[in-house]
Amino acid sequence: MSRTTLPKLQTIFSDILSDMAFIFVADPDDGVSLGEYTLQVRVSYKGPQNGILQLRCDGRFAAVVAANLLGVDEEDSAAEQGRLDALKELMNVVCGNLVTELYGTEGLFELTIPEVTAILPGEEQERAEGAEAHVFVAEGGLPVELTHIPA
Amino acid sequence: MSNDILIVDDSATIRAMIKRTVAMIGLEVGEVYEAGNGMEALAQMADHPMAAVLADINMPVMNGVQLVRAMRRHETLKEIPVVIVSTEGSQQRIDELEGHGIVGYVRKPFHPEQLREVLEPVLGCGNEQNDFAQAADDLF
Repeated sequence: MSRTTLPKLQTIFSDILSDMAFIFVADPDDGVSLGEYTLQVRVSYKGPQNGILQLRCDGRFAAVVAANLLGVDEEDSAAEQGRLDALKELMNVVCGNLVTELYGTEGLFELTIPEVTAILPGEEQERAEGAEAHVFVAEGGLPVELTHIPA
Repeated sequence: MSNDILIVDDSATIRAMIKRTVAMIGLEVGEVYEAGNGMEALAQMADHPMAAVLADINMPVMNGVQLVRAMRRHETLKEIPVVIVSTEGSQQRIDELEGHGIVGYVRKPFHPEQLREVLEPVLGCGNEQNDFAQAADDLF
């Protein structure tokens, strides 16, 4: 199996984001400064292969995901209250589909319940060995970083 | 019997999304109940007879596989049709759930018509006053 999972991850993420939440992403333009990430979501898969899928974004992206999943305006209180839950569900769906795409339907995998943590200002993250990351920009210039860390 | 259904998912966002989808696909559904895991689902079913259960697999406390097993062991719950709505891609797990008699499996992310295809035989014919195609056009 190829160690490069990034092309599949990019396709799965952009397809699911557009299918589920009607959000379209693109690669960032060179030299454009992206905003700070304030939220991190992680979900792990365990089975014949193990790994972690991680997403970093800001609160605005989370609110847009929640609003679109719920079919309400971004300013609606339901979108504000549901933004962390919406991010977790998005990552659950992306991870489930990624595992099938990478490893097929024969193996039995367990996905952990996704966890959201806040990223403090100035907090740096070390890149894990083997991690593959890609940065997307969602409509409205919202940056999203997706990282796959195969164990 | 009423056409009440139960949506079981630990994500309130997904429960709301499924509820909204069920409302727009034109099936005659009664009350829509919600539960955040299998244990809560069993409690809901003890209080309210359900025409169908739509359940996720990956949930805390009691997951969807455990829920289906528990229902099949129960005298009054074992006949309730269960549709799995999940990201699960393992054929082994789907086979196991089919062995427990689930009536359908819808993989997330799903389109409204996929939910309609599995729910229509369970709940009966669609509500002609609520045109599915128009509702889908309105949503998308």
